Amino acid sequence: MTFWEKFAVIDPRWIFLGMAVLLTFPVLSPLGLAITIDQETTVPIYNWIENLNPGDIVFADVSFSGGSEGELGPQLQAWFRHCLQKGVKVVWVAQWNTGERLGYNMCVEVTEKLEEEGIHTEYGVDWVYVGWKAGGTTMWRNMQIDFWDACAGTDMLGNSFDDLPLMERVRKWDKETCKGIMLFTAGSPGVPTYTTYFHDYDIYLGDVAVQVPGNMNLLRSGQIKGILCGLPGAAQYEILLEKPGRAVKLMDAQSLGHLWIMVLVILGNIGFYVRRKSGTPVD
Amino acid sequence: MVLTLIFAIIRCGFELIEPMLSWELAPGQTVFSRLSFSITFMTVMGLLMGLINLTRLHVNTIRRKRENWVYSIWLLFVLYGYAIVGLGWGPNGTTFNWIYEAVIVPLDSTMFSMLAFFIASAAYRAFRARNIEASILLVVAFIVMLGNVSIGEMIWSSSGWLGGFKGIKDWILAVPNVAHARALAIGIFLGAYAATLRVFLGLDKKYLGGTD
Amino acid sequence: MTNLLILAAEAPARKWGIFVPDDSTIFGLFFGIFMLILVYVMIQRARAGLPIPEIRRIPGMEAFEEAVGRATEMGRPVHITNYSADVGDYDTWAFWSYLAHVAKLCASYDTRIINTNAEYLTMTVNEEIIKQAYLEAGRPDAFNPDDVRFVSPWQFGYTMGVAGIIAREKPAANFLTGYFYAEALILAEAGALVGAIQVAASASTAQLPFFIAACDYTMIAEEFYAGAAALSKEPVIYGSVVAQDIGRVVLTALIIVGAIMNTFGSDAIIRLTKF
Repeated sequence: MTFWEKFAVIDPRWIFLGMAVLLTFPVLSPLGLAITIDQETTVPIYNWIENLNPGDIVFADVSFSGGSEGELGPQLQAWFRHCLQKGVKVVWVAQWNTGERLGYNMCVEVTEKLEEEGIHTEYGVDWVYVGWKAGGTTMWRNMQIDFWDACAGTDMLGNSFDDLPLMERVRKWDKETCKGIMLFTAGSPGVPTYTTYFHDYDIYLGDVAVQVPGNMNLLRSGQIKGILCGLPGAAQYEILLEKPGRAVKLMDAQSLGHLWIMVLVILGNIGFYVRRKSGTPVD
Repeated sequence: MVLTLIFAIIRCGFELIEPMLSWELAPGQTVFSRLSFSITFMTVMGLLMGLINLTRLHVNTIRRKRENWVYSIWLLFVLYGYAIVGLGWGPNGTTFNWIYEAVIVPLDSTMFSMLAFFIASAAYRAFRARNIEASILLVVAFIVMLGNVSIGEMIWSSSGWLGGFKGIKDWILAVPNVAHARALAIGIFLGAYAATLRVFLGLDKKYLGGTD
Repeated sequence: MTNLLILAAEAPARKWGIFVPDDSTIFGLFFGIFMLILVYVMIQRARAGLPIPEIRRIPGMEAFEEAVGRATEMGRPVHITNYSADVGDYDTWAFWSYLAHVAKLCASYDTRIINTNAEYLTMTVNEEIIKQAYLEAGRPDAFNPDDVRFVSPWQFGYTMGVAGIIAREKPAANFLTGYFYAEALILAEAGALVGAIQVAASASTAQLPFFIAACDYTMIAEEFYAGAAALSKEPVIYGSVVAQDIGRVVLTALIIVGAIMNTFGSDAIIRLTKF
């Protein structure tokens, strides 16, 4: 086999090793590559929170688990930080029971960081984590009619809604109360719950990159108003907030990872054509 | 077949006549709350049966000392240990939470991150320009990848002609991709509907364990 | 009772008195009834021996027999799985057709079949289907209940378990039929690493690109459902596939007419479909 023909049959272990090196290196030593803000997908979400008044209530949904935490975690934390900085009140629900605790922990991290920066927030006043409630989409429909009854009057931590001042204003999940819905989703149940039963609300999406093409038609048709597209979306939001964090740091790694895939594909094709030209059987 | 149709009609009835769900059977208990409880109960019973099956399988492996039987001991230890911690100290307990945050979340993320490596090897194998369709797939994949990352912005800026790689990527996602997504969605709906009707009309009885 | 009245007074007026005031409830109902009648008519035509349109050949269907044959020649097992396998899910119902087909092939060729599951209730049905297949092939003793495995309901626990099973058992054929999420590529690559011939059939649009990249044959979206019907080889079931195709033609015509009318300023079709 000639030098070029070898590129058609690279051992997968070399591919994995190259990917590991290129993903690790920028995390240890960031390159600082530029990030462009997407005006159609990310900016509408930023503008939505920016244009709300302090005291307005928004609902957010955690529909992911640990596997998608790498992409949706930074999105959630950047968006939640923005809400708390603006004085927007957030009521959290969770369609996935596996992501319930994860979402809560990430929210607590944000409040602790804000506390260090001198921005005080209080659980029960600025945000409430209702968490996961059994019953699926029927439960979500009942929340629209009587939120307290549907959630059995308690949050994830077992606190009664009577003891949480914010919940006094959230008797029903209706358009009077809710100034928009932010959904962080990695699968099912997820978007269809809101596009079907909350279709007249302003719905915004924090999505894993792999699902963005499938959900793009919802953006085009106006069923959702904005999407944070995976890790780039989180990085863009952090830049809009002028608080670059984990997502911005990891974007360098993602760029190099994509570059490695492109290099491999080019080399693979070169090897493929050289083998075909020399008459060696190709797959 | 008659029974499936009757149940289907009752189910449709529940969907259409929603106030029925709010009927109170007893103080504080509506039809909906009892139904929800029964569904939750059945799900948990299913989980319990899975637990029994898993235990039976691995106890047999340990008893017969089949290959890798030591891992079966570890599996049963972790399975029952975590369950006991949760039942004993509650799901909000410190130990339960620590195990979740220190073990399950990183494991989840680790498995998910394997996708990065596997997509590289899958793309390397699949993106060969064997024919015109494969070549188009290859070119589009390159454009979308470059449109998503900073390196693409460096090569062809989005403030340039056609919006750079990002502009072309946005057009691809907004026009051909949306067209295919909608077409697939319609097709999937119709296919799923026909599959559901086959079961409702009794033409497909595989749920009874048959092969016909 | 008072509460119900208050809630009724607060809620938007129901369409035609009983239907929930959401978009497309009545249009959806009538379209559903139309499809029901269409399916019934096509099935009756098939039963009466009247001509019904043919279904085109689905390329991935022959791959099942080819893959099982390859596994038999190599003396290696066959692996089949469906992650999102809730018993009440139509993807599971379609998966059972593929499972029955593969189980019958394996039973007749005396090839070992491994079925991994993330849902215990579905696993019990799968076990019955495979056992029945071996019984019909006259090899009831060849059925091994330990080859129908419940792995984990947790997504990545299931993925790790199945990837490990594939790495240890080294199946020569790997069938990924059903609805998958992020684990799709991991399972497909695990199969590719052991050199298995891979056939994917899924309606999971987000995972289809990964299946196309990693698998030898992929049945896309509705081909998965149509293939499930085609496997039964009964004309009456073909009727449901034909009805589905006619429904698609009707919807396409509605879309085209609606787009043209909307271009010229009339939103009648849009209001009709949203009613």
